[in-house]
Amino acid sequence: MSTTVDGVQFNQPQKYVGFDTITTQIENRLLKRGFQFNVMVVGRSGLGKSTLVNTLFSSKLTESSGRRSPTEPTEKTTTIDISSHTLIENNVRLNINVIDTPGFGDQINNEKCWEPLVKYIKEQHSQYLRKELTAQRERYITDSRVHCVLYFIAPTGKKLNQLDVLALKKLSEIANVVPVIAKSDSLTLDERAEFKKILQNEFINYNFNIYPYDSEDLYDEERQLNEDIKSLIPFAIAGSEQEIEINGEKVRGRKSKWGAINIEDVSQCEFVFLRDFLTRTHLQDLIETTAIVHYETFRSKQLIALKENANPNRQSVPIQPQPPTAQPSQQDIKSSASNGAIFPPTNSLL
Amino acid sequence: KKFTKRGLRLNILLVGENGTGKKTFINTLANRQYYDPAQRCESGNLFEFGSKAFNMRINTHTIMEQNATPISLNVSFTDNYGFNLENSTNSKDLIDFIENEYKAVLTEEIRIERNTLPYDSRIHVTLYFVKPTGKPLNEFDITNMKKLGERTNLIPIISKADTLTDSEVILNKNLIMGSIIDNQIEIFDFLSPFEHEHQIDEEDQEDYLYLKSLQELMPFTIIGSNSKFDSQDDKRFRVNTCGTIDVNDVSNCDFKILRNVLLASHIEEFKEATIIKKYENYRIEELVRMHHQKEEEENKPPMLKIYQQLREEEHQLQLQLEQQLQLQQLQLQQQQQQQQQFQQGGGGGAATLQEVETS
Repeated sequence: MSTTVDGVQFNQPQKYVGFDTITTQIENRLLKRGFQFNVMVVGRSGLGKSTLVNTLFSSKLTESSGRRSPTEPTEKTTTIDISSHTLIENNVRLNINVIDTPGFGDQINNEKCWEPLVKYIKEQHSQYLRKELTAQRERYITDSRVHCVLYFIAPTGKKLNQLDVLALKKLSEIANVVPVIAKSDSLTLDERAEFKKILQNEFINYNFNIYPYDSEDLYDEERQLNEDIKSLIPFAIAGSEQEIEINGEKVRGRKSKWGAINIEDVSQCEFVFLRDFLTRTHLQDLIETTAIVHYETFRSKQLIALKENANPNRQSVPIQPQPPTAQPSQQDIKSSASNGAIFPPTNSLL
Repeated sequence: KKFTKRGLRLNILLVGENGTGKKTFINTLANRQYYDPAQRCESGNLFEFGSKAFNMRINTHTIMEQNATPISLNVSFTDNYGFNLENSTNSKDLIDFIENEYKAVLTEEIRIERNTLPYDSRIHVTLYFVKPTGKPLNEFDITNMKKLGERTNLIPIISKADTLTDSEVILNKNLIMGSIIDNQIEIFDFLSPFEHEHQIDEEDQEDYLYLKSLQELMPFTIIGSNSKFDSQDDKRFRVNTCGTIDVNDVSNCDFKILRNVLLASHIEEFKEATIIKKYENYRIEELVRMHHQKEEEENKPPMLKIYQQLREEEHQLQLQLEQQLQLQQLQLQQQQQQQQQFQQGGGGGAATLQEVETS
């Protein structure tokens, strides 16, 4: 018996063979190894980044790195602060790295405050590439590449300011960026809808490459899901590490004199959508896309640069203008080589 | 009676980043929808700074309440404050804006024949809108507030306070006041009438307690509302995702208290403090500066003075020359036009000849 799907002929064996159990075999293997997920949180001080991460994974993953007293000195530049944890749920182990970025956007002059972030992301790609190309390499390379960047936008209700525009542009070029509206419980539902429209227009106008991306090998339902997600982005969220009582029930939320908000109630905030998106539907895709899109782009640029360096006859003067081709122009290579791509000298690799 | 005839006047400056609720605050204060926060403010006078980093919008509104004197509120607020990547010029721009008004008054004062009842457009009180982050003040706010506090009566405000729960409000107020004290930022002192008194008399007890409570409330928490207002009803509500908030309820926020301070109890205080303290400080500093400048001028070596004078004269001559050239060119153009018209038709020619004769 054979069927044809998309021009490929499928034959079904006459008697049951049993190779369909390979999925379980793979699962068992993967369960032994555990999964690795690295998420970076980016945003000005006081937007609830740490609270949200702890709420998302319902565990105390990170302490707010913000100042707790006025006498604490302020950060002078953006720094990278990594905390690692292993979570376990139904025998599935998840190793999480939460990459916090204290000092981002907090100075009077914020020019280039995203550079430490870009440098970090590229360094992880670079480390992975180096390990991959080593002759005696590890069986399973620990993946420290940044799979997701949660970008926190302040609930001003107005257009994005200069810092947000530039940072979003730079970050969305090299990693999966998921923008969220922080502390959205301060907006009325109308204000929230208006604000989302403004932001979505800005994303289109500035041509940000916001995750999820379109791909040819998506099923229709996956594509539909992505379309739904795209219309929701940026997610309007509120986080809470405390439990309050609403109508006799204990839920995670925020309580004030005039009312309370249950963060798991989708009519009040979109926390549940974000959580499901990140953990229940797109977790694997985030990890995969980082590997097959962002890492591949980095990798090809580096390897081409490597070849250029190895071949001394090739001129290294930038050629202008460059027609759009698959190969990056000389300038790209030069810039990626100088942008924190720490690459060992050619001799040790070839 | 003099006041009621002339009406009361207050000049307020609102400083805060985009989206901190400045326009909503004015709407709530006056209980009228003067501004639509969704639209960029196009009304009023625009004051642009040389640095083009941000602007000021200036408008005047009349607040009329039953059984009370109408108040003419002159509101200036910032547009795109702190918006750019690089905001170090913002503090200078703000101070320039305030000193601009002071300078006008000073220049008028030292004139020999002066206008004794000048139209006072000096800023009487500045409200600084701090975002409800739950953290202490950041560098940007500290630097700018410090500069502002020297030149104007500064009142810090936590805007959009409906973001915070009760305990967060207390924490935030403490952290902000801590920042203010640590950095020696000069905010308005409600207790200044009592600053030289060691003992409070019986009759002043009430006043003292009221002023003390005001001082301890700072920074004032504000919740604003753009809800449709009913002319009969004074109530303003904000309906956010948690519930409905009556902004005039003092257990929700300090709006009503601040409104009372601005429009009733402290109008004259603010003006007095501006004239007696802030303007005086500016005046002293400016006169000393001008004196030093004059001394410098006089003490300059004579050769340098002569050289500078000559340069000035050269510059003036050049300007004159350019003007003359332009005039000649214009005349030439006119003559050419005349000739063309003369050649084309006799009728027009006479008219243009007349024009040239009269000009």
